[in-house]
Amino acid sequence: MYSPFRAAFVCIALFSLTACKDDTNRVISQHTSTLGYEFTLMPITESRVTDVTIAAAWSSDWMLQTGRNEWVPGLGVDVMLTGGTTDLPPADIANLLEEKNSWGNIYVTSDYIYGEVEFPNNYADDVLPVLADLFQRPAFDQAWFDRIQSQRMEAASGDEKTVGALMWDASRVALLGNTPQLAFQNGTDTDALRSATLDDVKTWHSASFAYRPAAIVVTGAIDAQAAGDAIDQLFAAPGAAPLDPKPLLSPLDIQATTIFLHLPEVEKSTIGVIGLLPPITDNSAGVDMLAINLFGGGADSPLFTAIRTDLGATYRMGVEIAPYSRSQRALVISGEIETDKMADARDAIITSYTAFRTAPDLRPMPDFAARFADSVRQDNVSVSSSAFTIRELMLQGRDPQDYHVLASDFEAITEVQMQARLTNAFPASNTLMVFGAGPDASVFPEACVITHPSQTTQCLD
Amino acid sequence: MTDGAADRSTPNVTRRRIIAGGLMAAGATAGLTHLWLGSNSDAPVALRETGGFKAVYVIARDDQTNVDAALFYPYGERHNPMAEGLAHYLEHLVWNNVRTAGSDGGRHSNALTSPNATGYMLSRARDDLPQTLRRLIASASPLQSSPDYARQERDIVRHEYDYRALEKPMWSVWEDTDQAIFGDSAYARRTLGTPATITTFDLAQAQALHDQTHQLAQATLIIKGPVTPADVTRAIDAIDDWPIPRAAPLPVSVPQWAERTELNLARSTVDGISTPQLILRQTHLGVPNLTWPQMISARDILLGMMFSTQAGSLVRPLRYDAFTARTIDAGLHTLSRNGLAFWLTATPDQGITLDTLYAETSQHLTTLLTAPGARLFDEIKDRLLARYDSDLNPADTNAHALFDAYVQNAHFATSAELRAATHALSYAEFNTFTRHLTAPRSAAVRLISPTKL
Repeated sequence: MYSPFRAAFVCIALFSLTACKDDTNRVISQHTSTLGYEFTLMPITESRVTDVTIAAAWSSDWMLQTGRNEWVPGLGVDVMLTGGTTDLPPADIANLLEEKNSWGNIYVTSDYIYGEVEFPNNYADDVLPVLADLFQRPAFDQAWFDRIQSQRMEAASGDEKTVGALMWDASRVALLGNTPQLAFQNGTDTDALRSATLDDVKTWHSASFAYRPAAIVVTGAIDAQAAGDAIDQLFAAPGAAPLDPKPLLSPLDIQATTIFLHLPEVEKSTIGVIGLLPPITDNSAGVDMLAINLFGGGADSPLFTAIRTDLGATYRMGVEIAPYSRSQRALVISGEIETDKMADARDAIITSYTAFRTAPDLRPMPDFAARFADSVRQDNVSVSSSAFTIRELMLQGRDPQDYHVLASDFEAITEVQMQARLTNAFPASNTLMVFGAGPDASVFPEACVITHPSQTTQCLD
Repeated sequence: MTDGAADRSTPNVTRRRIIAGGLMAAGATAGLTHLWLGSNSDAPVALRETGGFKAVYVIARDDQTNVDAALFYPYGERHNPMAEGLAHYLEHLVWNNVRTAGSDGGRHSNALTSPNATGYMLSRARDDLPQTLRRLIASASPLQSSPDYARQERDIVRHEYDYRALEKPMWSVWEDTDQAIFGDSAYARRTLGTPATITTFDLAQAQALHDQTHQLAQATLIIKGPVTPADVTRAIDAIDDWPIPRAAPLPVSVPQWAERTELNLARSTVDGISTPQLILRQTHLGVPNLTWPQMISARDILLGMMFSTQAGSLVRPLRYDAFTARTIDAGLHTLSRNGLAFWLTATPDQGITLDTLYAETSQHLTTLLTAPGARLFDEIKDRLLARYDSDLNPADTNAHALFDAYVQNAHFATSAELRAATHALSYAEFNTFTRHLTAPRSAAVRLISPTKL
């Protein structure tokens, strides 16, 4: 690249690679398996790539329906992953996956269950039957269930929650209201955990996977026929059409008020400023990511300058986009703050955010965009990262082909787009909700003061 | 609702132990280039002409826009003869000078203090390489700061201590075991300091420590990005105002920690935890007759054997054959270039006492170390070799390893060297290594119960 020798070498390398690639490399296409599963495939035929990743997502309403035990999905995935199958004990499964350099994972959120497996293609015949058994026919072993339940019980009933964790519990009470989703996300009802049974897990398992996945993506060293066969083997006969959990999700209730969780015995204070963000559409996820980094990323960002450099109130501040579900998003600015500087910090956060939203300094934007683009390109070399990226695009309602332009999308974001997004989608300062927690309730004289997260509703209209 | 990140035996954490950074991978074109360059070319290039630096490494990467530059001084908290934590405070003050030594700010900058080293990092545009180097070498210029800023930064260091240490019930337990295994040696020093020592920090102390530790002749520069070694050489050659040392440097080597042949065992109760825990820590001197790559390879195979679910492992009898340990986690780290530190934590299953957990863990660990299964050794060794071979981006793996080596003051071995050492490691050599671990230089055990059950 920087010398004739190097340039020649790269050309030779690229030319030579054509011998080990074909024209399907990283071409994204849609297929239907023999059993009828629709899936998205991106073969990777590059030299040394032998892995295959299958990533799926099932929409789920379990955590959104009243009368369901909110602990069961979490217990269920742990039992599926650790308890073995009807044919193989847990240790043998773990050893087989390790020996074959393979893995599987499954996890739950408020509205989706995510599952993913990866294996070298030459071990597909060894690994897929076991992964299929784990998915379709887990052993549901009572002893393993008891072990997992007791572990969760200790964690849930322990006295380990930090000031920050308690403040976020309070914030979710406000944002989600008294809903099943709140019970799932806060995980504080130990009676419910104690009452969960292995039969509940079996019910959850059969109910959740009775529906076809909302997205299935296959990437790596595999062709369409083999990918379809692998999917059929993993999931067996397809069930009903995917659920739509959106109608069960209430909009986040973010009110322009200040709530302080008074905890006299703790040693430090923390602050969280929350604003509503709209669901992801088109390329807005990239613009939003860029925006929060312009505001809070790095030592000279407006947020860092205001709170740490100028005020000296904290070691670190964070700004993030919190997804409470796929359709419920919030802007969250937070950090631990020196107790005596809580009010000044709150004011400085609001002031710096207001200035950023209305008149941002966008000069660092091309540099940030280039870094994000680099990161996307680097991540997408990986077989598994590629599968997760494409799955995410599909769940956002985007074209899977956008995988190929995600990096350049970052670089194409204009200042006009950014300014418009900040104005039209980012929350106005007078809509922000402020949470504080700590030992001194007088730091926010105007706040609604509570002493337990469950009291948060008393502060709301 | 639960955090299993610290539990290596929790199954919904991926079972694939990806070689560090192996799948972080490169951009498409550059990634292909790396594949064809072969293993020797994946190693960082050490420049012969290093200017005022002790050493300079270049990792040419075509898959990133910016140049990442890191400058490491081989002095950390273990070298600090003054108040505990002062090395970290000094790093804060110096970092402020580095990031603001220019007109365009320092958004993409960072700094770190470890027990062994202090590092400053900048990431900037390729064309700014000369300016980037000037900023980094400003870290060796006389430390300047306004008294007000120095005081405020002392408060920030306290905030950082609160952020990292408060509300962590086990923090003091680990500090206590540091004292138990390292005694009063420099190895027991706390990098963050303590609330009491932080209040004593002042600018004059920091300046004195700076003069003795921040000298470029002791420092190593690592450059990673879209540059060639020639680019870096030119940028170094253009520097004509190298800071002049103002004091004799402190010794880089640190005296050995004390030998304590008696096991330091204690039981205690801790507020704020809900689960009983076993902590086992041991220190060891380096293994005679094994090279550094051999020792790292043996270490990796041993950890693989511990966490295998086959017969002969540590996890199998404790977590699968019987419900004794609900979770087990362990690590074996290098202690600078002088030795090894082993740690293990475990939580008991229901109905299992901490004494039973400790007894059974010790028994199975001793069995594994004294007579590791030869078949399991071969299997884990093969798996490790397969993972070296399937690493899609060994250049990136090497870059991470080089960085870590300077943070830890360890030797650097390339991925190819480690693979070769793993391939050549015999069972007899491995058993020499594991038997060496049965005779620790110092050891501590803590049986921790929650205050509230």
